[in-house]
Amino acid sequence: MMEDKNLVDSYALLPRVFVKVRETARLCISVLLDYEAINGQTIVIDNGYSKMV
Amino acid sequence: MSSDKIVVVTGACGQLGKAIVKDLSERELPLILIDKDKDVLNYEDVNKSILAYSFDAGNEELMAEILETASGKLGKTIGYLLYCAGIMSYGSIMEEPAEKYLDTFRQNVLNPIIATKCVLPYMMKNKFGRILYVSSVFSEITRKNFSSYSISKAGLKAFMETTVKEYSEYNISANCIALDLCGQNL
Repeated sequence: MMEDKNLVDSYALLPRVFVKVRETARLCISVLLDYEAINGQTIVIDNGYSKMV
Repeated sequence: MSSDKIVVVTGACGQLGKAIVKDLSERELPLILIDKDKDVLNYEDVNKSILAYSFDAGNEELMAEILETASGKLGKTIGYLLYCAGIMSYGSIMEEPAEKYLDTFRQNVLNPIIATKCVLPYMMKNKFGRILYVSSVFSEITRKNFSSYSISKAGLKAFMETTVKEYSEYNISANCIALDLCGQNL
């Protein structure tokens, strides 16, 4: 298994962002593997950042 | 989900791709990992049910050949595609050369199309397929300097919806997950 520490190092990001990436990854996996009823949808994860651009 | 079906992950060496592969490998699912970055090959050391390939996902012939070889080696069929490769592009309409638009389109739209065309035969044969494209909120909104990026992600969304219309009868589903900037690169 890949070590968490290596993963954090590779991101070179703050831990809270690391958590966000991991949470996002888990959400992607859940949508792919677990939610059979979802089809043809665009699931928008809007945390407001893009509105500041 | 069933572990008798392979999950194909593109963009396995990106920030999100790494986190996705970590979680999937902990589930001990059979994985085919693809990335242009040669570091993708290191994933094969994680466990025996992972096969990794470093190449440009825009090469349809090579993609088809690799998927056939890899699924044969793993002794399983392909049931899932998680497409998380792609590029961000930034620049005003006047600043961005036409070539940049084409490159963004190629990487964010054409390459997912190629990957989809390569996995669909396995999914149609087994009447089972689940596809997820990692997209962006820029498929839904527009902002200054993101024209090529927004166009590409909107195109990917249209392709996903067309895939559903054409292949749902084979029990194949497809979705996009549209991430905000913080979810990916920040």
